[in-house]
Amino acid sequence: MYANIVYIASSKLTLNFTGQFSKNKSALDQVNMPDPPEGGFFAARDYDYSNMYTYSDLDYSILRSGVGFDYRFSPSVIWTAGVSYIDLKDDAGGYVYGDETGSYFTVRAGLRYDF
Amino acid sequence: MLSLSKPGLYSVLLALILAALWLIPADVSAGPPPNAEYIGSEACGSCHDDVMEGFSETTHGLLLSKVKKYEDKLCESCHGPGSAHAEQQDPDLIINPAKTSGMDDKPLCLDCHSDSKFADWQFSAHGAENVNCSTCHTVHSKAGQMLKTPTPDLCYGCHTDVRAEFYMPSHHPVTEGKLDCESCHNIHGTENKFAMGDDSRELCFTCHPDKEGPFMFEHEPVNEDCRMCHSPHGTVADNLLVQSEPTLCLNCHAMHFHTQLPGQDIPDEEPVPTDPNRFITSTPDGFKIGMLTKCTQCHSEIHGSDLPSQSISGSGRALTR
Amino acid sequence: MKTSHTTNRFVVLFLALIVLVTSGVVRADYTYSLWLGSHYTDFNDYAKKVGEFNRIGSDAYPEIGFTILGSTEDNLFSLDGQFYDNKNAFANMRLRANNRFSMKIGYQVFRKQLQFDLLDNFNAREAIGKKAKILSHEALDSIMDYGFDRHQAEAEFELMLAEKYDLKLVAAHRFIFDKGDEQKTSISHCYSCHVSTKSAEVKRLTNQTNLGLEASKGDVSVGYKFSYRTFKSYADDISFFYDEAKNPVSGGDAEEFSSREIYNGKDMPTGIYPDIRKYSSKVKFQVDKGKHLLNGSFSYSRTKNDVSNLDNVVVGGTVKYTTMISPKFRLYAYGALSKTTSNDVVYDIPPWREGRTGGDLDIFDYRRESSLDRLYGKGTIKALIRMNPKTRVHVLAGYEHIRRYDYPNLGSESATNTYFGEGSIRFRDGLKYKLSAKYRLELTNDPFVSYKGIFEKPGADILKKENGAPNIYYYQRERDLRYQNITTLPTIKHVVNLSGNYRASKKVGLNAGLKMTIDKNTELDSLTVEHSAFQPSVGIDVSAGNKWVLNTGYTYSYNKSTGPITVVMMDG
Repeated sequence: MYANIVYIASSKLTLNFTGQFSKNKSALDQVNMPDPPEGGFFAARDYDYSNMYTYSDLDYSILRSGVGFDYRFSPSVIWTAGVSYIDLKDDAGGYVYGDETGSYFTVRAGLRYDF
Repeated sequence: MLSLSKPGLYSVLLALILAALWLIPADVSAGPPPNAEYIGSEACGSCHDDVMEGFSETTHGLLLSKVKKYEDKLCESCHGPGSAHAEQQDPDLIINPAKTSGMDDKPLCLDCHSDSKFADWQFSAHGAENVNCSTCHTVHSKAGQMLKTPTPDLCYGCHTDVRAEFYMPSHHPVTEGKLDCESCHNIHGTENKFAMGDDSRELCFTCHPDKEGPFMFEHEPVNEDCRMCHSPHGTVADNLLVQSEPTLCLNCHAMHFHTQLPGQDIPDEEPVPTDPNRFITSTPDGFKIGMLTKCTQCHSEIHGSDLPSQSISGSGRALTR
Repeated sequence: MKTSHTTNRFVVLFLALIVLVTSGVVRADYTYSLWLGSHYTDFNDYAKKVGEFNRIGSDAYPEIGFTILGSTEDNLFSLDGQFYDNKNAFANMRLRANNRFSMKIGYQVFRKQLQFDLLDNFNAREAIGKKAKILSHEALDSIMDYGFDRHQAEAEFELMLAEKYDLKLVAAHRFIFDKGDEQKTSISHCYSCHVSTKSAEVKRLTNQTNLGLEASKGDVSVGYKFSYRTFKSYADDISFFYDEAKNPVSGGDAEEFSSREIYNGKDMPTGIYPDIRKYSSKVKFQVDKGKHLLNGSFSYSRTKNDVSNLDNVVVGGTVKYTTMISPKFRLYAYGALSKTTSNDVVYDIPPWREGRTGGDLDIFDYRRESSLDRLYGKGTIKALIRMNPKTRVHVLAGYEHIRRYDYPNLGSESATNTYFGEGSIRFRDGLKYKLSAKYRLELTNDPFVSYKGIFEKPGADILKKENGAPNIYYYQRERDLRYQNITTLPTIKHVVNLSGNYRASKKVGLNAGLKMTIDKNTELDSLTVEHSAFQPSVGIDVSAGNKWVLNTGYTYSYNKSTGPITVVMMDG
């Protein structure tokens, strides 16, 4: 899911917003394996696969967002500033890759001069 | 067994082609009539002043004015002779490149853009799908601004599914701006200048040459098609894998694991009997998770290796080393 | 701020170019754009996934960016670049002089972060008590900031040699240099199942140079291109110690277990990179007769891996043809044929139990018979039909053949034949709306099979065939059961693609699409193999007055695979 919005507040000021959200899952259904023969050698061994489908689940939520503005001092000088924030949440327990939950943000500003 | 035989399939397709041919109605074509004449760009400016304003500073304005063949025609270089259109003010009496069809001999733009970079346009996915140049390009723009929207957003306009894939946890760094769609795709049908041959894997090897081999111990899907395991735009699983491990591997391979023998639970870490410096633990679930979660943790050289693996029973082919 | 040597060279190169331009050596009318800024980055928790392609730290960096555009009557020049931080920068230069010479030079560096610790998943499991018997693990080196910087530079030149024949010299070069650190893993099978890791330097260099000639006269164009690509790792090899194999719990049966291993008690190089050289030649031609366009190529390429002294050769060619039968009917034809041959090598693998007690001797000689050896052919024919100015239809039929020689273990040639057809219809009413529907059908005989095959018949019946064998482990070696020529790839595949764009007004645009794929394997006796994908998407663009612009969308993607899972069971 994504949304980008640009708002032209005046001839000098433009505001922008971006946002994307994704939910990502990967899972194995429960595996139905045949029962081994009863008794004897097999009885003492653990051939129970019933939890196998829980070992490799992946479950991520990712949010990317940003907000900023452009301010035009003159036709050739533009001041730009913004902040972006990206957050990844790992809800699968980290059995496959380790826990990968994390986020970061960036604040950015600068001047553009055209001549 | 196949539900439809090959001759049957081809018969159906042939019938479809013939039916389509039969259905074709009389063509309705637009454009200048044969007797239309060139009238010069000043006449165009009398109505299309919004386009003419600043046109001389655009890429096409600059270039057309410097090419003898076009310097007198300017607008009519692309739009054709405008006399009939100017007289009757009928938009159907002028060429509108945005509405031209790839059914013509060749797209109008290729008259000038005729070098080898566009030689394959007719056979490209875009060309063969009849995509018009103006779908992506703004012709009346300055240099560096001739795409309607910067890529990759321009491409996402039609390829909406690809946008979603690039937001997945594992993706080529297009979202981060390190690669562009054109890094891999031949937008104009031009062959990738660093991909030689027509093997679909060759494109991937231009940036990932270490996966090409040839290897002493191969992983056969690598020799088939990278896309058997990878989806290049984006996936949930790491390394652009189309499915998570071990599911993907189990599509072709029997899984292996040790079962728990009775009395061998070691819930807390204990030294290995023969090596006090090593420690092992053991729980029934942990045992299976170890073997049935991430195959490449042990089979780390999954694209192939020149070194035999430690286990002899796989003839050294286990790709663990 | 620590800056790499390569980045320093990049800065110096582009400062030199700026001086060159501004000093008037390249005389033109210029426009300039300069960006001066800065940014600050900070992170929480684990930044190596969320910031996989960025340099993430608690840092502030100055930024500089520039664009220079210059033109004269005959020349076009542009230079642009950006320094974002010491791991992210790019610069590009383009020059076109008098229609005789053009060049493009570009440089880019970015950071690819690798996982903090490849053993993290073990730690995660153990943190909740799901510990793994035997699978002990240990990072032999202290954990580092794994990742590498990818430096990539490209140059492309085109020089007109003779205008009369449009004879051009074309050349291109690219290098990709990965520099950093990675974590290598190794497993000592059997005794300890001991997964260990070491830090390794990343120093991978790819170089590719292309040189070619192109010429055209009248309707005919011809071209030749030679390409040479090398890949080499300049990092030191990493070695791991391979344990003496013993029963992991009792420490007993040393000889029996050791006989299963190739390297016992030795320090052996592991995870080394290949050393690749690839030579390619390609001849192209095109004949453009207006209504008829014929285009083809013939190519030869040889790839060598000097680590194992292997090479393979691919010889192939393609032909493409299109003709406009009428203003409403265009026909396309495509054909490709190639043959790959690879050298077979015998690699000496010692027999199982050689010189040891504990059963019969099993031979495990390994003869490399590459699955690269193959004949590949593909042909398609496509008709594009304009029913009326608003409606266009296409139909396509095609055939693909892959014959694999010396396919390992299956003992004979294997061939995969795919027949496919597709059709689409598109309506377009100017810029108002566009609707398209496409359907593709693929029918495949004998799809690709894993060289080991896969065990098909599950169930207790099979287990009973062990005839009272004391250990199911031996079931693994029932070759007749395990090595069966079946696959989980489909024999029939349906693909549906629907899309629509509607511009409700100058201010509102809607688009929607649906992709569906359903495939299954109908050649298997007792197993269900099916895959399905379902991907609807919708997007809206709205502009309100001259103030607001909104574009938003939603995509849902669902993929499901059903197939067999087979297990080789071992005791422990």
